[in-house]
Amino acid sequence: MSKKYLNRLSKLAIVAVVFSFTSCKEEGGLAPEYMPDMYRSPSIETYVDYGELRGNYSDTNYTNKMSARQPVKGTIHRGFLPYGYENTPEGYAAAGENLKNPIVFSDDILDDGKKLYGMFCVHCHGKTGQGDGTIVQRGKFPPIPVKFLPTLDLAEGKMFHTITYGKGLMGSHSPQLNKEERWKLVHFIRAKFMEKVPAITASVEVAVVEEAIVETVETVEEVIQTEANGH
Amino acid sequence: MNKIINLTKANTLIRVSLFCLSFLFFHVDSFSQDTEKGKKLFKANCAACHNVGAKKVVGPGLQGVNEKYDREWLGKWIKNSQALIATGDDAANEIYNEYNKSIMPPQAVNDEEIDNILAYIANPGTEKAKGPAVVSGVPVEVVEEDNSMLMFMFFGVIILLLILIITLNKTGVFVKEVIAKDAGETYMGPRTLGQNLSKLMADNKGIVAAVVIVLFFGGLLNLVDGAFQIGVHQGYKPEQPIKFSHKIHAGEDQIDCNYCHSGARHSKSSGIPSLNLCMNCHTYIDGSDGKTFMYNGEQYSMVEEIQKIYDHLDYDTETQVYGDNPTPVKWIKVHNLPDHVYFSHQQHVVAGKQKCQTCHGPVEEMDVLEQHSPLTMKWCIDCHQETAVATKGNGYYDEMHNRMTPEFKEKVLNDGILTVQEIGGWECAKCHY
Repeated sequence: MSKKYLNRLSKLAIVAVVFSFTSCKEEGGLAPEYMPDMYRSPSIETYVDYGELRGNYSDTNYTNKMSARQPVKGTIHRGFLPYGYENTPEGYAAAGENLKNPIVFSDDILDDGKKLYGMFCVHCHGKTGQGDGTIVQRGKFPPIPVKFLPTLDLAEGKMFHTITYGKGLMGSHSPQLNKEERWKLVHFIRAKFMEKVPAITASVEVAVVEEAIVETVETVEEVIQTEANGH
Repeated sequence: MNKIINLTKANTLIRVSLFCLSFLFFHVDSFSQDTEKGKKLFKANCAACHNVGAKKVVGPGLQGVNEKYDREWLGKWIKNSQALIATGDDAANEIYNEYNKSIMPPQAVNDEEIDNILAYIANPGTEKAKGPAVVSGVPVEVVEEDNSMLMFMFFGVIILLLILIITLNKTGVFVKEVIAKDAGETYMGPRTLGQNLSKLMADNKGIVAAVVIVLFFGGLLNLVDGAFQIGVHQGYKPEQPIKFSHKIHAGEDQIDCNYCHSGARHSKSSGIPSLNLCMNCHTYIDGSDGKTFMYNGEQYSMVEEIQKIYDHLDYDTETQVYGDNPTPVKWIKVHNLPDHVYFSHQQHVVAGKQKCQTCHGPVEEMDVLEQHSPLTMKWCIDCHQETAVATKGNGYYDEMHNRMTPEFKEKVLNDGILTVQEIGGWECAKCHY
């Protein structure tokens, strides 16, 4: 093998070795990225600091401003209705008197409520609703003063109000639960622990179901008709 | 009739005297028995709103309450605060207004129990003593120092070796010169290190070629291997600004993932909870009892880490007031999908009924969160190929199956499972658009 070839080969080897070393992981275990703009773009992504673009603070006006923004003042998002009761003892009492659960009780609602209870309530209020959740049992939180019992006299509006604003040590859960979910929870807690299943007369239930069936049939017919017209 | 009245009178007399006696006892010396009972009662009935120290929880801290109010007043207040307020009592109305007219519910305790509770408040022992916690050392820096020491030693050894080689080369040349001088000749061989090396290489061409070839292909292999790692951050485990442990919150406390990541059911992003959610629990759990916790094998003081939440919120623990200069906590994003991929948590969690752990791994066992899955396209489509669609109880799929042509139905449903791939989970535009 001539010296010329050897020289070239060794140079190539050095280049290859150098490259292979630079392809080690970056700090913190991040792998190298090809075309990093594709991975970390300046477009509106969740939880991006607007002032920072790949470590550079281009516009400090936007530093610490996240994409998770507050709505523009005076606006609400579609379908949202403000909750008309204030977070005061008076508001609590008024909610208890005036608010009624708008969701029609059914087994599906009960199932949904059970799931939600397992996500948002169970670690404090416990599986039995008596305040025997893991956090209380582990001594991190004091026992819950409210035990969901058939003897507990608590209006559903008050329950909704409490989930919305919190009460005592319980914080507000309105950021996590929308109104529908809160009402579902109220249904579940009342039916499961307080033995207050909303009285739905059989005839009403049947009527609702029949109405739904009629609607479905109509929609299906409509769909078929439009499809027939379209093709 | 008179007898009965007399009896009741006597009864009240006995009660009052008993109560006075207990009052005396409690003032002279609070029995440990009483405080023990009182502690239990306090924990069960009062602790949800009151602290035995001076700290405000929901209601005021009860330290010194025995001195501030008399026993009779306290008894009335505890049994039915609203009745006491209604009588127009000044002290009662003052505290009622101070706490924004929030009602302390009537407590079902008798006088003896109240005495025990008050005894416990007067003498709560050392357990909940306020004060700065014993701050355990933060040993993270030590680890880093270790690392730099290692690097330092490594480079030191290399430099030493270099010096050794150069000196050896010089002595070698010197010795050769001396030998040549002794023989009456002048030394003509290589002098510098470079010259010596090229001579060595020229003399051993075979070995040099072998080494070069091994290095070349080894490097190439490493390079190709590295290329497959581009953009794959599996195992990425950055140190977060607050030592939040998923192991403690999701594992030991068994808080559901959805409690904090409530967006997962409703949106593309599962969401990083804002600090108001932390405060749902951490207004009460402030670590002021000096507890420590284990995080990544090291011990940390709770009060220090929880204080970071308060600092970011500009929250005053004494007055329980939020300041107007909050700053965001800059959590470091662990899971990142490139811009050209669309992924929705909602679709996977709600319609797909996937557990969080399917992609994120055993988060409930992680102190520091780590990227468990590679998040490569292969990983996505492999899962789409195997996973059955959760059709049960989902009316959409019943309708869809009804509308399928028999041939297609036979084709996709012959094995009994409808995979994600079969309903278009492999279509490019499903994720790239």
